[in-house]
Amino acid sequence: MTPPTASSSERLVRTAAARTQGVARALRDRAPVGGDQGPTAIRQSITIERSREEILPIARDPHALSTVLGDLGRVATTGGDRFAWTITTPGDATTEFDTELVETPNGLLWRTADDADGMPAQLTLTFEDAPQDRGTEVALRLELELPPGTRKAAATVAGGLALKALHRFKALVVTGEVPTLRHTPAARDGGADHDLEG
Amino acid sequence: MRALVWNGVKDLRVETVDDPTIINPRDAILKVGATTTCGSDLHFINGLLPTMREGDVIGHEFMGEIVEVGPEVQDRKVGERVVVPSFIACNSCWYCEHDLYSLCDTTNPNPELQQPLLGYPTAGIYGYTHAFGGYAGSHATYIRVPHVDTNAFTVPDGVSDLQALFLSDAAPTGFMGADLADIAPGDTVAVWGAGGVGQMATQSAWLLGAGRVIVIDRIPERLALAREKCHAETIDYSAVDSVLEELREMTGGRGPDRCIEAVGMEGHGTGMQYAYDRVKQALHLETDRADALRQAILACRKGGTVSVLGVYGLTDKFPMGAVMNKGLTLRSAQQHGQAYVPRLLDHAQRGELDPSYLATHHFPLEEAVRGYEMFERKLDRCVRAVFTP
Repeated sequence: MTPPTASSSERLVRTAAARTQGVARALRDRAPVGGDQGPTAIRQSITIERSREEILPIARDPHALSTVLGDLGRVATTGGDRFAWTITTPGDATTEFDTELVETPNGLLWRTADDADGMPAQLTLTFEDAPQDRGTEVALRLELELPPGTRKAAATVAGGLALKALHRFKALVVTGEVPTLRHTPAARDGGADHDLEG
Repeated sequence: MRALVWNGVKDLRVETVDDPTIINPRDAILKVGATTTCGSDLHFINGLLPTMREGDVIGHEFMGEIVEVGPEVQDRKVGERVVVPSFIACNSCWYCEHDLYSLCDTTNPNPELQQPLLGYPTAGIYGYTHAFGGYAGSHATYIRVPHVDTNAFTVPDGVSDLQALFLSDAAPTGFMGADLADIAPGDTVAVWGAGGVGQMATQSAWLLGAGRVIVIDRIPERLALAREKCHAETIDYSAVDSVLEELREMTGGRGPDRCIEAVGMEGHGTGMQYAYDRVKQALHLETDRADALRQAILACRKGGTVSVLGVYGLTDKFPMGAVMNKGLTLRSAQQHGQAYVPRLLDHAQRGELDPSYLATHHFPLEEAVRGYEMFERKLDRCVRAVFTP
């Protein structure tokens, strides 16, 4: 076999680099769940070792939801089954939306109230019995209208935050407390991470 | 308080940080009595594992005295001398209920950092990367222990602080490795790595019924400890042409029945495969130098079990064909210490397990940086450096 020359090696490297860049562009430009138009859907699931009857009251409790959100935001009631959500995203930007809570045959639905201010949104928790007496499968689906141009990045961030919230919710249900890094000693920020939940 | 912190790759310093406080009702605060280095610390110290933050307090292998408990702590009491396994468990999720404590589903505050890397998040651990929770570590005067009734074990009379210290990580990891290997009475067991975990895996193999134990390493004093303290036969892999050939000849052509790998991603080797790993690791094209793991898989007898204790990231050139064609069972885990510590304390109390000889070097916390240097470079025959805050 003829050994590669310097010029043929350079062509191989350029070809490999170009193809790698092409794959990267294709991955970057791939449409998120929900496509390029309409609300973006975020999905995460977790199995919680409790019955849905034990989980539902905690899921309906705005104080518990605020505990779950921690430094991610807060939830407050505005009367009856109406909830006001304030979500803090990386960079300390906030997203606010008002919802009304509806019980569905399989779970709970928080949807933007018709007369509410803020960004349209819909959060669904559905409950299914897990096999082998493992408790309840809890599926979270969050639909948000995200501005064009930020949709993909925002969806990725939102997916991670939804996973964090779901794990905190499970910890609260199963152990009565949420894992936290508040006041974690560290050689930064004056000696500890004072407000960080995780 | 004073603490050993990570400030960047290969940048450790002892600095002043806030004392920990009770945050959740089942927390406790420990005054650290002794804390030790671990080989897996070197992976993030050397920049091979992501998600450390400047200022993180490190250390995950420790014992101490409870000085404060939260309002819902029921079993542990102020003043008790306890040992704490490195992984944090809740004892309430499915994984904990099945003794898979390092897989706990509720103690990692940062599951979103692990899921992309591992598929699913695992338990939090003290003093490690933020993907593994970001909890402050034990190389400090005090440490917060969540769910203390689950995670702290009373050290009985007759077990010294040093003996208890190594029941935090090295001993339960080694014991779990032997347990996962499913040793049948009289089996021949080969152990790669004669560091702290490998020494404990070797002693554990005997406790679990091995008929013969062979330890592979290159450090003369560690091989000597394996012979003298663990009654093992040894192979210096730097002095033989082929570890596989040596093991084959030592076992009548069969190979060891059970292989325990206790080396991990910064293993050393000989030959072209090791050179390949070094180059790729330096170029950040792979995280692991997995020479020992490949050897264990190739050396294990047909139908045997390989138990992997070494910490790995992304391994290149993994001999899956050997695993499949030889019908091997491959088992692995981070230590489920909460399942093993009570038994190990019993063994220690009866004099059947004494890991204190691993503490070859002692330093005050203020000299911990020097301790890690000696530990990493294996200076002065250092096996483990123990810090006393």
